[in-house]
Amino acid sequence: MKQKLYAGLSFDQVVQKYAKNVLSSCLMRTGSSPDADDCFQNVFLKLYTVAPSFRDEEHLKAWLLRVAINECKNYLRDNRRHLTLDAVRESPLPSTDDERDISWALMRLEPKYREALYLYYIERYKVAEIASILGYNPNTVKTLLSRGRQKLKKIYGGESK
Amino acid sequence: MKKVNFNTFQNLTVSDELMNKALSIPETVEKKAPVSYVSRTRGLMTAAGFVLVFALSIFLFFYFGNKNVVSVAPPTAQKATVSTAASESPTAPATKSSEPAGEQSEKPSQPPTQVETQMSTDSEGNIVIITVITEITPGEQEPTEGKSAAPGKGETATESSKPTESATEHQDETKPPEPTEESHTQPATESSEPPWVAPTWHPITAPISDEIRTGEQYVYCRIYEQNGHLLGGEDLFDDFHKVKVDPNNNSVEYNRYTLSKGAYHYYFYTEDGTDFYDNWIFIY
Repeated sequence: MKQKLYAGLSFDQVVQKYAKNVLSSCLMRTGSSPDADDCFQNVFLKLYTVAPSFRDEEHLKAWLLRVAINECKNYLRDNRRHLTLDAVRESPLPSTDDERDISWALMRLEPKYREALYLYYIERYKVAEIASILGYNPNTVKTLLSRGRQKLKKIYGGESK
Repeated sequence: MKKVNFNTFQNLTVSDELMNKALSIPETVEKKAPVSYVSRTRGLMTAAGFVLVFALSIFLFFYFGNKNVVSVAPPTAQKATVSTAASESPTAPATKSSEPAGEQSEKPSQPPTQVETQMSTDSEGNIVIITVITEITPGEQEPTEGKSAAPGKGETATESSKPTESATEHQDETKPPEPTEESHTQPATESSEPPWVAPTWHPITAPISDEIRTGEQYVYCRIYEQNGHLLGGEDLFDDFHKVKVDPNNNSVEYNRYTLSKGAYHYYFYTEDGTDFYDNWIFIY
């Protein structure tokens, strides 16, 4: 059987290389580890069955993250789950004196701010790329990032006091 | 001032179980593929079957719907074929392959009949069966034609006008008639054309030596069916088995029995019971 290639990578290579990114985005969007796991598998199932052609690996990664976010949206809509912060809060990484993990604060934000901040700070995408992934106007992304930072600061500041 | 990060997301680890599940997706999908392939193939075959049946029904509708009644040409006197209906009759004669038709025309024979059946449909789609029964006697070659019937829709009718005379004579064939010498030497018909004669008898002949030809007045013949059954009774010297010897002919002929399809073994023997000739005859 001929092996499918995705931007020059085999399916196994894609999974191993982008599993963390996909799971992270799923966890960010669902806030629950079991839900994130389900969405995670759906993303790669869609990759294998749809098998689109990708220009390069960046294109592939952006496609995976966009599909992951959409899968999570559909999943939450179909299962009518309420967001929970338990998954993030129960497994906080130990913080040093100089660093603070504010992932829990990110999960307090509305999904649209959370997605923009996640893609910007964690996946390190630029505004135009985030706009492409989320299907927004770049100015909209800038607005989301600005307001999201303010909200995050407020949440972090309020909780940290 | 403390530096903030999102290490929960950035340092997330994917469990081995979840990774294995993702890696086994191709295998899982490929296992399910044959099922969908079979389902798709079955669906295509079903659709093709429906199309085929539909096309066939359309073809049959137009083919039989537009077909007219085919007229039946009356058989000619020269036609030397026996129809199926005639040959299937238990008393119907069959030709002996060893003898030409010309020789048989000199033999006494029943009025030959010829039956032809033809089935067709008329313009309204009714089934029409046309049966033509032709009786041809020497000197009279006008066939008696049966009637074609066009019944109502869905009905099938056959109307055959079988001559009573012919039927009676067929019944009489079950009793072997007494052959006379005249019957053997009956001249050919006066008609200029050789009449069509249905093979009624199956002459069984045997060569005879001069000793028998001059010394014997009668010889005898017995015929066995393939299963060993003797035709004509166990008294081997009664009239049924008797054959007149013609001193001017070096062969004898036995024609008392009408043979239907099958294989027969016959013996010729003299009055003292000595077999002098035997052979097989096959009626097809």
